Amino acid sequence: MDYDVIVIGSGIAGTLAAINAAKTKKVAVIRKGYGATALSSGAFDIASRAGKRGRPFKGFVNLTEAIGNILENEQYHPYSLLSMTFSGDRFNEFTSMMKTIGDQFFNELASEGVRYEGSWENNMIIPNQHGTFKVTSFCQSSMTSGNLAKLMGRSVLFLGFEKTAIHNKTRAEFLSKILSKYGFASFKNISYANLNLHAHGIKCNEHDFISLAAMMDNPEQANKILSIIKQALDAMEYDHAFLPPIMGISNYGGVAKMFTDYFGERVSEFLSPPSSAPGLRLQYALDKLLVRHGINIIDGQVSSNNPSDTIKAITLSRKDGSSASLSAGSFVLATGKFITGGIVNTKVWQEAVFGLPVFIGAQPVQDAFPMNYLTDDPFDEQILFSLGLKTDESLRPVDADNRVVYRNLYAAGSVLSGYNYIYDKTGMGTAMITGAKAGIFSAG
Amino acid sequence: MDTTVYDVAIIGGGINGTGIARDCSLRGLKVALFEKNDLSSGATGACTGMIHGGARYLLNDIHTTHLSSLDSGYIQKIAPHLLFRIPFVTPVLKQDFMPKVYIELLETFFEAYDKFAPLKNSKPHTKLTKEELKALEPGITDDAIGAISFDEFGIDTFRLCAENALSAAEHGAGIHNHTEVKQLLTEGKEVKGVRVKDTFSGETRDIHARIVMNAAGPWLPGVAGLAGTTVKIRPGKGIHLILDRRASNIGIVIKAIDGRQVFMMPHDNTFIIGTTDDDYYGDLNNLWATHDEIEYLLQAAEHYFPRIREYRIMRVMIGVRPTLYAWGKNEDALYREHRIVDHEAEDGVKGFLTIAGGKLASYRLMSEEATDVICKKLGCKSTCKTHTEPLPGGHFIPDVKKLAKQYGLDPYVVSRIAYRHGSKTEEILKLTQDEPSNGNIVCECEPVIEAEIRHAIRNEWARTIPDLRRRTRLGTGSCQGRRCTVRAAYILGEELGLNADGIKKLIQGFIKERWKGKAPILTGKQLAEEELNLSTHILSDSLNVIIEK
Repeated sequence: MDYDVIVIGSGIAGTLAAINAAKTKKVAVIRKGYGATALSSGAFDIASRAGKRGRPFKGFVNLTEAIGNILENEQYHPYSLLSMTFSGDRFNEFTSMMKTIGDQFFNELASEGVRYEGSWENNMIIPNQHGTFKVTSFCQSSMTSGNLAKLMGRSVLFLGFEKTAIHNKTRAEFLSKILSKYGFASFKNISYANLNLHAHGIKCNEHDFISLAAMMDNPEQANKILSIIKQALDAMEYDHAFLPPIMGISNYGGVAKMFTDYFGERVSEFLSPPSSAPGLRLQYALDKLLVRHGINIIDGQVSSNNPSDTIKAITLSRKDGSSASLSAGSFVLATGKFITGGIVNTKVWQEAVFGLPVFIGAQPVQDAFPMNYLTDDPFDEQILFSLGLKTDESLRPVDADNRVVYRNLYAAGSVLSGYNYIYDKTGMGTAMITGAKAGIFSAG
Repeated sequence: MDTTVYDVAIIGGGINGTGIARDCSLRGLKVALFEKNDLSSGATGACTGMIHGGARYLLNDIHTTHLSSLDSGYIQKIAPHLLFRIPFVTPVLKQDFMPKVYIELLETFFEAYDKFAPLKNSKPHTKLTKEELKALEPGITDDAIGAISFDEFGIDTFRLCAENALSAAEHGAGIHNHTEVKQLLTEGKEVKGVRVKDTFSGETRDIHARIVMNAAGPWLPGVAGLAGTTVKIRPGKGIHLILDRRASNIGIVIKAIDGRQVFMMPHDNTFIIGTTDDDYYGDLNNLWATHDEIEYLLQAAEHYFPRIREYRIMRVMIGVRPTLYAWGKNEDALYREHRIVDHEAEDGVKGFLTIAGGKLASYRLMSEEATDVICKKLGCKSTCKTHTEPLPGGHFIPDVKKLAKQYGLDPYVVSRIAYRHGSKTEEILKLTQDEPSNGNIVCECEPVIEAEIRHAIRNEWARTIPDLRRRTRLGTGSCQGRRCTVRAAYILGEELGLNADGIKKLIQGFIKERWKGKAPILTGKQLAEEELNLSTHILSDSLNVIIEK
């Protein structure tokens, strides 16, 4: 046998599975590339369903309550599924398990230079590039001082860059108006400014912040850009200033420290929609974690053709065109949903590697017309995006008759059904906890 | 109160309405045009976008082919920037009835069509062997035994329509976008004008005109009803599938399962497959594609181009044709003829005309004919100039490389502006000198810069993001508005002085409009894009909380 455990996918779910299995077993991770974790905003959602359309979200800032609602009302959610194994107080036992796994994971990330902050009681409200906001549970440390719930009544300043996102009066007023509508006192003052980096001899022609963040990885460039920002901000009045997420990617820890050393908590990064530097920071930290835990990372695509109820080996196709058969005692599928091609639809809906059947809730889904699972209003919750694998309590995929398909195959992350991370905002939490548990289960 | 008495009030801002507005204005008539939604937002914007020479009429109506080819040549002269050549092949498959005879018959047919080729600057046909066909387009099925080639021209219909409106406005016409005609002003049996309502402000006013021209496309029976008259049409719904890239650089003429002719062809930087043709009696303002329609086209395409399902189908475009009424015919057997109804002669209602039917390729000719009728009624002796006078952007083709260098912009960005605006390109580029941020890219797929957006708002009657989409192709690329929707909303908000609620409405309007075209085809690779799109708009931007139902 080549490995004890082979994990397919290296996002949050795959990495958590691999490092948990690697505590006792020989593990390899196979991936065809980076996926949804690397593309994400880097914000770490545990639970914050926004509720009905247009409904004030203030009550949903309470994270504990949001998790409680899921365990009580959403029987197919992986949180609920995993809480079934507890015999006592499901809520307390589940949340304490989640906290243990989470705190441990955040410690590991911090040791790789990406520190996450937040609390297990309350979510934060972080503004973003589009002039709106996101309710989320944990954020990279350069963002958390920008929690809008704590900045009401203060003077905030949005700093942008000409050639990237331009802030203007319309945008600043928009954020102010929508926040006040949702029950928050207004800001004392909201202002904006845009820096012209070109005028300072810094060439940046990109339309997103990733190239600027990558530029900041170079200490010399970082110092230059920081001094331009210092000069600009020191000349302005504000209680808190927001910057785009540009504080480095691979040298995030170092760059973020340069900013806190000078500004303290008066400056933070706002969120940017995918793809963003914070998503890449997270992914790079995961890669380092895999290496540190002695896990083999193999690049290539996996396929399988297993007639029996146990998978002995999978086929690896490498980018150079060569292929190999790799055997293992058990396998973890952490291939993601549509972004990564974990779930596909050509003529029928199915899981991509093993051809497993997929579900929405308890319903098997095969037929192809997407409108059967979508409403005509794009702002409604679209159940098509909860499509995925159904599993037993050990996270093993089952068929329409609830029979385990392969005795030694476990699944984690957004390849699973039962939750809709876009709407219930449990994406990172679910990936983390199902990943960790799948790793533990697969190691036996 | 507007006491002006216009010569002509035109209802409908599609290609017929704007075409007639241009012709009337060039002939010196005083024109006001009213469009309830946006220019080219109905049947015009959903058509295949071809200025063809009318090959299908060759067997029964050679006169129509002659006129169509002649007009294709005229349109190339007045809008040289907007047209692009599409080389076509008609493949013959071994499953076709007597394929070897069929290909000979096809060749004879296209030999006859070659006679019209010089009129429309086309190349004559060639007969391709199986090997030549495969070399030209390797994606075509191995079942093909050969093909006949010919060529036609594609056009950006949105721009064609906008440029006709712009030309009309340059010659004094009033173009009233997002202004709905609620009522016709009548005196006895005579139509004297229209009562219109601005769909944004709700403001209502009366416009007096000597002639009211009903050019409302599929909505025309409703408008005719306002005058107490009846014009019947046979509304035919048609859909097109749009791929995110050019699956081929040549157009392919294919046959669907029922033998109907369907086109697969490059259009601009996309590839379209269409169309269907089905009687439609549903809501004209809320069109959705069905599973059957989509599968019908995919099956047809797959028959000739086996790997088509592996491509990324980005969206489906849906429209309703205002086809002339006929009983006892299949949808496809209906002629694309047009008719100008003089309601004075037919119903005894003076001052009211209706134009029905027709096709994009002959819009100019139809507009000329309609304007002739109007002129006769008004006693105007001027003659038509629309075939010789260039459209506003058609005076010359600008030097893209030179302009890019001069304004410090990416040549590709400038080339796209030059395609859409022709000789007016520099007018837009100049805006980047007033304000450097006007050079910023808003829509990264196309790409579209801020200057072009501001130009469309200031000079081309754009008031919503779908309007900007039609003027500039903003949001039509592979991300379907993921990155540009919110950005565009702020620019519109700034230009139009909108408050937060106004901006919310803009965002909601565009996302809803995109969704109609995306949701029914959310399969294959586009699913990945949509997960990313929802991750942006819902997961990250919380728009589902911010935008009320």
